[in-house]
Amino acid sequence: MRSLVVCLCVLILQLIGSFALADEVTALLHRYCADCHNQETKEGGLSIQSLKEFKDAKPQVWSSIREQLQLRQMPPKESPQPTIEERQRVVTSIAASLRTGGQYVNNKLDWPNYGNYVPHAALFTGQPHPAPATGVRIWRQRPAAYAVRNGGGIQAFSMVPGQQIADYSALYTVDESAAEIVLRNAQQVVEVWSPVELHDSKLRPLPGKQPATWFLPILNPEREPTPEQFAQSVNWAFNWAITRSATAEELTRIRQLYDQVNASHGRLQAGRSAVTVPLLMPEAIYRLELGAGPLDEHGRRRLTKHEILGALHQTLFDSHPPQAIYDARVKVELATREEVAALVDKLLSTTRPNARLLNFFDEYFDYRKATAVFKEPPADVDFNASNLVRDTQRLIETIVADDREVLRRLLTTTETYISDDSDLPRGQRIYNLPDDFKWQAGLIALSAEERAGILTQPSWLIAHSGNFDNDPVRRGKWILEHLLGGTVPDLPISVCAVVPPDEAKTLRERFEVIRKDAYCWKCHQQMNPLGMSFEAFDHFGRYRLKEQNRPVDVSGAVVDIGDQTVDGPVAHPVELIQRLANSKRVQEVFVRYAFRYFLGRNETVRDAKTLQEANRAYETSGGSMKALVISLLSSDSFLYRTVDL
Amino acid sequence: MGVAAPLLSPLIARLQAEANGGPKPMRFVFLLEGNGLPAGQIQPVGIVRNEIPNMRNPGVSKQSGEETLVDLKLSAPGHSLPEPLAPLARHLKRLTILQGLSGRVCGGGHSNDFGALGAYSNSSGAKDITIDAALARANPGIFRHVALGIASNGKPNIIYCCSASGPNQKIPHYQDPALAYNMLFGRILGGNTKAEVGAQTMLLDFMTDDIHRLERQLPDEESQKLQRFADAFASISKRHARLSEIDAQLIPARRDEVYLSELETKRLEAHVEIAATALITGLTNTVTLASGAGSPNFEVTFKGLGINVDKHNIGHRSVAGAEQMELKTRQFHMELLAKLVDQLQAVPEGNGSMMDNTLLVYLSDSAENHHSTCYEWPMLLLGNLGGRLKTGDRYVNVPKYGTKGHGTVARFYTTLLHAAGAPVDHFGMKDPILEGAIEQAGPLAELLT
Repeated sequence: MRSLVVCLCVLILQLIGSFALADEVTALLHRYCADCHNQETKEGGLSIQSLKEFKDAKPQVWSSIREQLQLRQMPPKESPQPTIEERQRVVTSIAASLRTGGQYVNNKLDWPNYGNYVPHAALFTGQPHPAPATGVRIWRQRPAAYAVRNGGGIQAFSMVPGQQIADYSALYTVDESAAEIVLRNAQQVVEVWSPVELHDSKLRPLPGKQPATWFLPILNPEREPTPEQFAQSVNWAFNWAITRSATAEELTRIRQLYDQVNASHGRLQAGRSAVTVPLLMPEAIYRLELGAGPLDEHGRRRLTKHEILGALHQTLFDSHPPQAIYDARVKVELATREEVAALVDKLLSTTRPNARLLNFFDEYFDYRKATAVFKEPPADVDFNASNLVRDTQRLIETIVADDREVLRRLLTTTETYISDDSDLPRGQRIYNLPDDFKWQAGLIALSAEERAGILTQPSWLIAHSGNFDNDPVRRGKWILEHLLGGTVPDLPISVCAVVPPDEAKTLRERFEVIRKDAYCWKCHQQMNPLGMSFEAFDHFGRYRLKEQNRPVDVSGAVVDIGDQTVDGPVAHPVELIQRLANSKRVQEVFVRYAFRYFLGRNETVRDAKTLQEANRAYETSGGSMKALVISLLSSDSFLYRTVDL
Repeated sequence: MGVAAPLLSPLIARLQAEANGGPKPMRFVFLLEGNGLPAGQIQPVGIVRNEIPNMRNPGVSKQSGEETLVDLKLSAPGHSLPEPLAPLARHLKRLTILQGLSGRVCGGGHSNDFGALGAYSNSSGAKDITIDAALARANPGIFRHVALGIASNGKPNIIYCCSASGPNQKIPHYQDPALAYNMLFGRILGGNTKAEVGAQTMLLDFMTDDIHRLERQLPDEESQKLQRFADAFASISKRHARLSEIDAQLIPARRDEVYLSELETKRLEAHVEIAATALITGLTNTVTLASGAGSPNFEVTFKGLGINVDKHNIGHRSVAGAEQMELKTRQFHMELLAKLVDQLQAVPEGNGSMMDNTLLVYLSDSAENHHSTCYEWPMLLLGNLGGRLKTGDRYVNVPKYGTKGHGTVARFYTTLLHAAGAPVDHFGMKDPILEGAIEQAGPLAELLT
């Protein structure tokens, strides 16, 4: 905050340009901000009292004001707060003015790590908006899904690392390098379809190759294809690339392209160009969610059946569509929520849990990165992070397959898998198993006093540790955000977040410098007490009673969440986890994360109905993940699109 | 020149443009190495630097403490290059060691990510254009900007680590050298027929139009995604149409033992070779090379140098011999730079060589340390950009942070834009703490001719 204040001080001194806001918005800013930001007090160097100064401020100042309001960092907690609608009006209005002025608006609420800034109470209490919807959008395919569709070509796409949920529609575009690879892949696919060359102005197959017969009529320089032959070739390519035939209008335009290329470069090039079109269309690269149903009274349009099937396919699979989706094309209308729910149920009713569903837990618990945390293993431990990650993966799959009380059991189970490894007698020490322990296939019981669920799995503890020690901040931050729905501001530029080394002190003692600095503690007061409890483990995930040859302090606390069922001190991490696993709020936050994963965006206040229904579905089904996903994927948020958000 | 001009090779076109009194060509290469570049490692032997305790971590490290500008010749008697820079000795006349710039707005830590080249906070990704992209925009080639690099995780073909062409427009760095080679040179070497190029131009024009049709159905922010897709096809179409200008004979054969190797050293070597080829053929004027730059890419293990510890761990000094490992890695990067200079100065241009019109900038994305504070940001410059910069055979240490005459990284980048003929008042973010204390606008007079 200190640095922001300084920035604002500086920027406000350089008043240039102009900026217009609606009078109503100006009035709201005066009502909620002018107590501190007036001509006398000028808190942070900013006064909004003088209308002249107010209108003339630089766009950067307005960006800062907008962001602080949007992320509810202003007004301060102790001051009167605008309603959600008022806040939204001001934020939207400033953004619109900035855009009109040609400014970039960084809408952090669109990004994965900012979802919790939407107030929890607004989602789970009160009367929800009757008609949730997602904005009309396009969503670039995941790399894994593209790999399946591009016929063994080069991977054109990548994912942004460091996101709580990786695949958000707002995160990805297709830039020039990616487009160039897409083009190259498409041309190679078409070359495989048409292994022919011109010889004496006649078409002939390349040696040993047999071109597809459907393709030949549009390549032959000796004869113009009939409209039917042309349509057959183009439709074949359309169905291959985007699982539909070309519309009449598309056929007409592609025929024009064909004739144009033919006139200049011959029919071979023309034919190849025509069938390359569907491979390069936005529809082949992006998931299109426009909604083409009639406009309802809430300004929404329902996705078409084709769009729903595409959305379900791409949400639940990286592979080619399963048979149930092909069947649904002809057998089901998908005109009602119940029909969509029945299809999702069918898609999820497989022997092994759906891979994309399992991947949600991988992203949510974020334990796989244990393999990327470099550690120098102690001599007495055979440290193999990949094995530990696999243990957790198997544990998750078992609990998800059973599909009862999924979250609670993931958080509290005292069982684990241990990889069958030739070095097992040493590897088991990470799980604190006795020396006479006999390995067995299947689940193995751990001490209920030491372990409870994923957060005490070595993989999670390692993933949320540093190279040389525990990291209570990383662990506390994960719990605060993923279980309690809390927020952690971005690290200010003036902060170098390194705790000084001191070999004589325990980690908890070294972290005291953070507590003593009020500026640091403001952000750390919630994270650190949550993470400190996990000092019960070392940074390899071994349970321990001592640190620096002194009894280790494993106490912690849940601070200021505003929920009496969770707030308060804890004596041990297992106590903390048990308390969280029994919390209604923790379950709701979990539902919010599931929403983000399956919808590819942050929830908004308008999605409250969807979240409440999903939470209810999960609860009434006895903690069934399947029920939760069915509810989400048949919700209005999933099925309806709007341009009016 | 008339209508024949577009058919000339970029090399001949450049020579003719120069002969006709046109602007001299300019080329920029940035090499960013992760894990910090400590000032001490590039400090010439024989020049004693005044230092003060680091203003953020006084007990842990130091920073430049010069009261006034120190400006010395590297070749002066008694001066010599420190061990890490030994490979650059053969290019001393082109070398400038630049000490004391600060970049506090970037934030510091393990990496300043896009802030390192953007001169802005590292906390929110690609906030705006970075200097390499801004220079590329001012001085475009057939490929506006070639970006290459390696990361801890060698699997992704493409990484996004330190370059951006605008807010939230991260520039992809090819990580797989074989892919980069094929994408940059494949079509030139493949000898695409005129008919293929012509047909592709029509196809891409059709696709651009098709994308615009869909774009009209979308709200603003979503349509921008498609706009970028359409722009990409339009740009590819233009580029491919110009590829016939490139002399395929200037492209060396792909050495698969290097390009397909999993060793970091080989991959980086291949990238530098690609960079040289792209510049020499006239395919581009701007290259950014990233060696473990940006989060979370800075844990590269240089096994090819016989090192089995990743650079993160070396940075923490947690293993015996960490200093030696760092020295070895630094020298390896310096040798790559020296070889790149060798290659560029072997190509005649005007009365001299291509290197005469080139500037190489070497820095660490994390600034002065593995855990940086950015109170200083050591850099190396090679070349003087056709005399536009007063660089070469110089040691420059600007006055310490907060003192009159102190320079910021943002101001250094501003200087480069002035040199490139695209002057701006200020590039990146100003340091609010320094406002009023020092000048932050305009180019650095110590560097701009």
